[in-house]
Amino acid sequence: MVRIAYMAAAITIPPLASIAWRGFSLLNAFVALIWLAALLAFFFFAVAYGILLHGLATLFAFVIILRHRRPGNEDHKFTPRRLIDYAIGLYLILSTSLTGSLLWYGINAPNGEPADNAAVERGSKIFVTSCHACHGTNNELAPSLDGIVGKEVAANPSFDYSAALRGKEGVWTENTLSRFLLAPDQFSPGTKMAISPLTADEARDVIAFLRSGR
Amino acid sequence: MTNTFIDAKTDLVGESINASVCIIGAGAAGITLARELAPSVADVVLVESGGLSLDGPTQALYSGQNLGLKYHDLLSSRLRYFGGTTNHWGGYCRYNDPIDYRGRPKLDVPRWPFDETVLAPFITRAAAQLGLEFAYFDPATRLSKLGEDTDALIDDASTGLMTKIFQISSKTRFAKIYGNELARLHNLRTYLNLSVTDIQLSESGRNVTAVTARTLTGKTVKITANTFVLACHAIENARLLLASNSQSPTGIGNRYDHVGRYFMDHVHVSGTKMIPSSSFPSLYNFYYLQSLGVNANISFTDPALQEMGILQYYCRFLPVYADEGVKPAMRRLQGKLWEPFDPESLDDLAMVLSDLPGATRLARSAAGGAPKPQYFNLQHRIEQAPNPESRILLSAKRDALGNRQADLMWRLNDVDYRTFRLGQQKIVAELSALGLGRFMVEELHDDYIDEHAIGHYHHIGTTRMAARAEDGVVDPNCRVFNVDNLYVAGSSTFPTAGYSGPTMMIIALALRLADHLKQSKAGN
Ligand SMILES: Cc1cc2nc3c(=O)[nH]c(=O)nc-3n(C[C@H](O)[C@H](O)[C@H](O)COP(=O)(O)OP(=O)(O)OC[C@H]3O[C@@H](n4cnc5c(N)ncnc54)[C@H](O)[C@@H]3O)c2cc1C
Repeated sequence: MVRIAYMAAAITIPPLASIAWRGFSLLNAFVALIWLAALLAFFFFAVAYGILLHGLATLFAFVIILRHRRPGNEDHKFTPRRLIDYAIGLYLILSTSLTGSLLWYGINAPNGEPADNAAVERGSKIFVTSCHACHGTNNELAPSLDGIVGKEVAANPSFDYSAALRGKEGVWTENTLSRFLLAPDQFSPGTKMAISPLTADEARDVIAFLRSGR
Repeated sequence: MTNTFIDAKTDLVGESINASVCIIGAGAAGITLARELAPSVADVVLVESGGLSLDGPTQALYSGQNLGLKYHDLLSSRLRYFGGTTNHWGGYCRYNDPIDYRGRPKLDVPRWPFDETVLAPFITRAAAQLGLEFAYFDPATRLSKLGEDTDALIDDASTGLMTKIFQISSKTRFAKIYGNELARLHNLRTYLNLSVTDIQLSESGRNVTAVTARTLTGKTVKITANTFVLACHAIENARLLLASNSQSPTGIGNRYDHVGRYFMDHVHVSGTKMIPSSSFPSLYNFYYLQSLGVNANISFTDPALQEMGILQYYCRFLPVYADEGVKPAMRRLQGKLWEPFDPESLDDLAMVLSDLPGATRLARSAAGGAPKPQYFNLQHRIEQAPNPESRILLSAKRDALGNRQADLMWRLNDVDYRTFRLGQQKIVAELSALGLGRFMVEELHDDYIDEHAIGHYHHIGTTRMAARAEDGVVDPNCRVFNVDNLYVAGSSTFPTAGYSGPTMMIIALALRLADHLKQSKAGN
């Protein structure tokens, strides 16, 4: 609910604010459009595209300002007042997105428990003796485990997963990972992950290590 | 691949196979032998436990327990399919130093039954096969080629310190590189999915008459040959000799109780930080040099080792560029760049912003630079002493083919502990004297070492080579003492772990064994 309200606000406020400030113009609307695309990309597609489009929108805003500096264009003569106008418009755009993101973050702040450092430390040792040979350096034999908790099962398109694993739906949770580590061949019959099963404690520690991203 | 690869699970394989030479195991050693022998020796057979790719149930035949110090999972520290552990290895290569062949009685370290001059021509061939330029083992040659300042090398400035290079081969995956070649060799048949489980001797015990091999589908095949070569990697070589106990309860080649013993690895322990001065050469920065495809470490000269009375030792300098947590935060941010915005990323952003200089250093290092780190973590690496108590033992548990599993009792001894301690001491003393850095020293007590020791996936020892039957398992030609037609290939035959990574040495010894077999007309 709050998220939707925020989204609506983030999408509409900057263009509306800018129109309210400057009055409607085609250029103005164009910037608003890019802005919208940037937001959608940021939240639904990829952060990188969002940033790129956002940069584009910002660039356009500057272009508008610079256009008005053309000598001879008496109508749109570049005046200090106009500069302030646009600066404020720009500021509005940026600050809305920033406060919006922070708001959203505040509301959705990760409520997970802080990492248990001792467990992470123990887990790192288990990683070395049980996982590193295949998952550590050379990724021909096993996919990377970066960000594995929460990642889709069998997500790496270039890795040839066993049929059983490919057949699984959903994302890796602590629970499914733990079941896999405790009994690889039961969780995923015919798995290529040939490791000696871990104990429940070892599995918990190594998952803590994987979550920590160290 | 073509017809000379035969899947033993199919009807193409009956109850028996006959050959002149039977090579057991298609890894670094086995494939090298097959390539060398098959062109000139008729009817060579290569028997491989696995298929052409990793398969869970076959790999599970490598299950075993760690009974001693914490070691790598025995199931994942070697690979059981065509190509063996070469499907895995990192390609770090170096030859043994002269001191590695010498006996060091004070340290209870035996000599190799020959010296470096005997192996030199084979090492040259092995290096060429791995695509390595032999001259590049010389640090000055290699580094000047890379445009590095070789005046910075520590060798001349200090007493007893020496820079030693590992070259990193890119011709590492034997299955891919040599698979087609093997398939085209007319004298060679390669059997896949066929695991040797037992070796039978003649009544006198002087000859192998046959080996038994099985498939996971329940087929049993008897293989007869004039000559047999075990090339199943160190733990499995010892396991097969120990488990083949129908004639002698202690197994084959084990009259003097050496089989399975002296399991060694290159062991490392981290401890002690160094804050570098501005004159510390960046070429000892592990990540920097790795980004150039080379590895150089600070080691000791042979005379210095002798004077100190320690085993081979070298020190790696692992740079720490930023506060804890910054690097993973950057990695995560990077990873999430191409995903929709995740609010948790703001935590990471805050983390990166909290140490911007560190983050900048990390970015520079990732781009191939060598910024001055906050400090270096020292990693001390040694060759492990040959220790009879560090050994392979048969377990009561059995694998899917009914064979007893091999467990590992990994142990260090006083020579190892001393090597770690004195090695670190000398590094600290020499680098301090040269003004290269300040140290925050961590004492390397025995307990600390036991707790933090990490192996290198280099399984060495277990069927060691010696001049006399009383001292080892195989003779200088790698033939099992007192058995005329059974040879062993691989690092299990090394009397000492030496400075090198084992694999180039394995290949060199396999080339030498191939020459020996061709000359002795083993096939006839
Ligand atoms: C992660 C990792 C990194 C490494 N990095 C390096 C490095 O940088 N430098 C270096 O020098 N070394 C490295 N090594 C070690 C290197 O891989 C080995 O030294 C080398 O592969 C051993 O060669 P091998 O032929 O003796 O055994 P393997 O290559 O293991 O081959 C043995 C073959 O025998 C088969 N086999 C086993 N049992 C049977 C049986 N009963 N019947 C039939 N066939 C059987 C196996 O399936 C296998 O194909 C590394 C190892 C690992 C795991």
